[in-house]
Amino acid sequence: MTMEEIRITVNGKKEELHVKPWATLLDALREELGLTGTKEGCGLGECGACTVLMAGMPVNACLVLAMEANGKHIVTIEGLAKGDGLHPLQQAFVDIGGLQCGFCTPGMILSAYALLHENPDPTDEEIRKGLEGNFCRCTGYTKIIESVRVAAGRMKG
Amino acid sequence: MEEYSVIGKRVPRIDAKEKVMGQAKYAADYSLQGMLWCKVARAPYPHARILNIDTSRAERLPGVKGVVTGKDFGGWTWGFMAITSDEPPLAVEKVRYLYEGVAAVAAVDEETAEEACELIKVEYEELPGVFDPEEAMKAGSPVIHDYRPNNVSVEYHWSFGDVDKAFAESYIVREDRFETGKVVTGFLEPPASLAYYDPSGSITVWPSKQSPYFHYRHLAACFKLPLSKIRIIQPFIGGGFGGTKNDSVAGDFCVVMLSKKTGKPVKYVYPMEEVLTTCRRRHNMIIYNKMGMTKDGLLTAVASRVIGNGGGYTAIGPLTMYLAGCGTTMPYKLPNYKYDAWRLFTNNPVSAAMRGHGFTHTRFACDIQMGMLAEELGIDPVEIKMRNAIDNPKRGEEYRTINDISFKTCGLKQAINAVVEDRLWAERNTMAREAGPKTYGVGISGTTYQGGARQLGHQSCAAVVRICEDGTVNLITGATDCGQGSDTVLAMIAAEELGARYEDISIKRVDSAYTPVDPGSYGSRVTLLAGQATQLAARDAKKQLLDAAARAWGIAPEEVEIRSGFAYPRSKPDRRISFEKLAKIACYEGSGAVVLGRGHSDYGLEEIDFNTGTGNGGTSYSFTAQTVRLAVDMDTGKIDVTDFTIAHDGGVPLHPVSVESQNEGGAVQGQSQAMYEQFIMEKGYTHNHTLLDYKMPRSTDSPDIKVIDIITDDPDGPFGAKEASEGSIVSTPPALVDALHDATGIWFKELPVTPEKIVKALKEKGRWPT
Amino acid sequence: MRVRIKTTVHMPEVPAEIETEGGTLRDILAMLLAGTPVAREVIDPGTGEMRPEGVFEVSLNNVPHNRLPEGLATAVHDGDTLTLSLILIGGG
Repeated sequence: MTMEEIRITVNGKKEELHVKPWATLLDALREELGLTGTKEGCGLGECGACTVLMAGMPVNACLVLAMEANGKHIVTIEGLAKGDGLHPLQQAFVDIGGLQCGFCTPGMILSAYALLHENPDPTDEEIRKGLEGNFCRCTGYTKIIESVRVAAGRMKG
Repeated sequence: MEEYSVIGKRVPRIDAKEKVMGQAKYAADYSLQGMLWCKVARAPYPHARILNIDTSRAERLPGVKGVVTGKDFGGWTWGFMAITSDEPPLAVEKVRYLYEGVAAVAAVDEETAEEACELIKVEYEELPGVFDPEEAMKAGSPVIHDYRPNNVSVEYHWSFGDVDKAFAESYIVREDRFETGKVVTGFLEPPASLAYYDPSGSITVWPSKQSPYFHYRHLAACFKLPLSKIRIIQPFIGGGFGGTKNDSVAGDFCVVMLSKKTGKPVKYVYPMEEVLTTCRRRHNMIIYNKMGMTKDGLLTAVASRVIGNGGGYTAIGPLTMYLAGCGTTMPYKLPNYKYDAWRLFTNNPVSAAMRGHGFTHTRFACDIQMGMLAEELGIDPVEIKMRNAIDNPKRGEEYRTINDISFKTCGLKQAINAVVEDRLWAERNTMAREAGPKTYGVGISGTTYQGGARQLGHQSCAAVVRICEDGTVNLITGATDCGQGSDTVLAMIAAEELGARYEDISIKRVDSAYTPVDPGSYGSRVTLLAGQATQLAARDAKKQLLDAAARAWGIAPEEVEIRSGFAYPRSKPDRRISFEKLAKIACYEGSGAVVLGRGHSDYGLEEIDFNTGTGNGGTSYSFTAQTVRLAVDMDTGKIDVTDFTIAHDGGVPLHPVSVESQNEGGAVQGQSQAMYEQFIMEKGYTHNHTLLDYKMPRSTDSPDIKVIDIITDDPDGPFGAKEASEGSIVSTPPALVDALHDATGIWFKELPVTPEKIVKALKEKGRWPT
Repeated sequence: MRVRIKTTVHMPEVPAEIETEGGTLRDILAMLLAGTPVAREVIDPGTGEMRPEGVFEVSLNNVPHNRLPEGLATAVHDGDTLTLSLILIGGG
């Protein structure tokens, strides 16, 4: 079995990796790059815990082959904060308390990021719809919706 | 409520920043040099004798470094009680549920380990299985454990007062059969552990456990090492909810044994499928409930016959069946009570604890039956609850139930009033009743749950507060935050007691080498018990600071005040110095001093007798009233839950954000188990073993939720607190089923209430198709 | 002499009352528990000694055994009540 070489840009940094042909983007991020912020919940694309942005689109990293990501820009949760400051979404989740155990949080925040990029002023209904692919067992979603609403307000300025 | 500096404030969670940045490390995020991966090989039968295991082909596969089977554990078994330690780390002579672990492999990567598992040849003698608890009770059923030839894992028969006489004298008596569903905890983070067995005789593990100290005792016993050589370093935990993460699983023991064999660190991470087919589930119970009332709707007696589906091993079953029975005498006055309960072994995955442990089943049955009786008697459902509700005891007094549970505060009536006055209930008749094929309904419930669980055995806990020389504070406890926010609350308690700022408290991760023992997160005990320990430790440290200030200012320590990060003589508040300065004075004076405070919880114990059902396992009890608004599509049976209003008496909300979040999350979990979740089982096989098919709510399935704090300021909790983690998972299913009754006129007694069940029931009443 | 046995958890192997010639707490415990599944938890395999610590709290007439002047060597008399309270090793 030969390893395949891929070139991906992760959080703005160019990376050259050698991966097994069947490795997923999730494997590559966690095992090769040590970016453990992206979580594996189900490994089948059903929970959204592994959500990352690929070419700006939210994807389940467990369903993307590492080779498929070749040449693409990936953003993980580690790439959201700039310097010492948090991204407004991250800050809103902190301020409102939109998390409990935190396991779904990286994926949830990235899905919210993608949502607000497409729809900067969503209704609560639209926020719920936009986060439908991210399962949370702890919060009952109430404070997650509120966090995204607050972030949207702050980001609009 | 008193004016506090930190308590009661909406401070950010102490661990929020690392979680939103993706920096919080969970068990699967840890790695060590030379680490191997472990996979567990599992049996293809739900009940079978193991005749022979041949691991030779697996051992020869390139990349495989070690293989273990049940025999490697030398006959060791574990359990919740010594007399029910019937579970081996890997099956030895027989398997008792489908996919029970029989061997495990450590290899250079997961794929190789998986392939090796397939090369392990096991010869089985398949045995007939029994899967239904009422079947398992019958004579002639296959025997699952030799030490319980009648398959009865647990059996209780309690009697208080005289139910027969009370029923005979009742104006009305109802008997109904209820059933709760086959459901699981549903945490998003699968169990995982990284273990290293040091050949010099010590074990270090990073496991996902909400009760790390139970696991450390299991490992000490299993590997015959002293406790001081077992080091559990606790990662962040991705959800607990009781059961699996309060206990150990096959993978946990296998990685340690494989590390011992290979000399390398070994890690396992269960895939979600393994979680949904092999991990602990909530018991599903059949409840034959008989309830009597006077003509005015006052409870006369309840007789509950409960049959619990235990699965293949005992685990925490004895406690489950105790809790399922003990709470029936609350939160409504009950003068006569009989409880007959059986937990049966069946060839299914093991049933254990889950949030709302025990209470969820029987409070559901009793609350619904009260609603049914109210309907028959023509009494308003709120009125009947208020007539029976236990009153809030006066200060200095306590209420005692007939089975010797006592509590000093009970905010049930206030909670019921709060939800009744809230718009969801108050304006329900002005809101839309029909919209196309949908009919709306509003329901109400009033329930209770135990907090501050303490039983005989090492259930106590301690804390250490260390003042760093710069005035920041290290809080060291063995208490586990599995996501519920207890670390935040403990830090707030330390800050308030010390007079320091919340931002200056750093709570350390549990590490059994350094942190004092704590049984962990269950029975809503951390805020109460570890909270008290923290309070006492902080007071101890504070005393040393007060003494230092007193010496510096030449006054008595009683004249010194420390608050919100400043210290000052009470008589001269403008002479204040910062907490940091005071710490420096205390630490650097003379040859220096180390300011260390210690405290342990001293609630003591009220012995519980499982056999008679008497005794009190909780420090206090929470009370929850809830309303639910939902819409039923009368064509498809689909339910849309639109609103919850939850009034929760948690004593005092120490961290309002967490209290709300726990109530919201618990309610959605309760909603989920009332209408969505169910394992479709066939002869021990779980048909729906993915998150797609084992449905749990998404953001679009959950309602808008309003939480109202009912404040009763309990004298036993730190700063008046009671539990606020489990009340709403008990209150939601009966309120939801009550709402379904309001919408359809039908009482549903079996959970989950799926669209099929609704359509079937409507059809039976001649109302479907519409 | 007759000794009453109380347990806080159902143990079908342990009777509610026993008839015996006499003996110490340790003797009675050995008689009650030796043949049961819990024997290996309370009997030291090396010495054969009865060690209920960590498994049961043993009380004689409501006094915990470690508060009795002679501990497990205390002689048991007719009409005494021996209580075995189980120590729980888990939570949920």
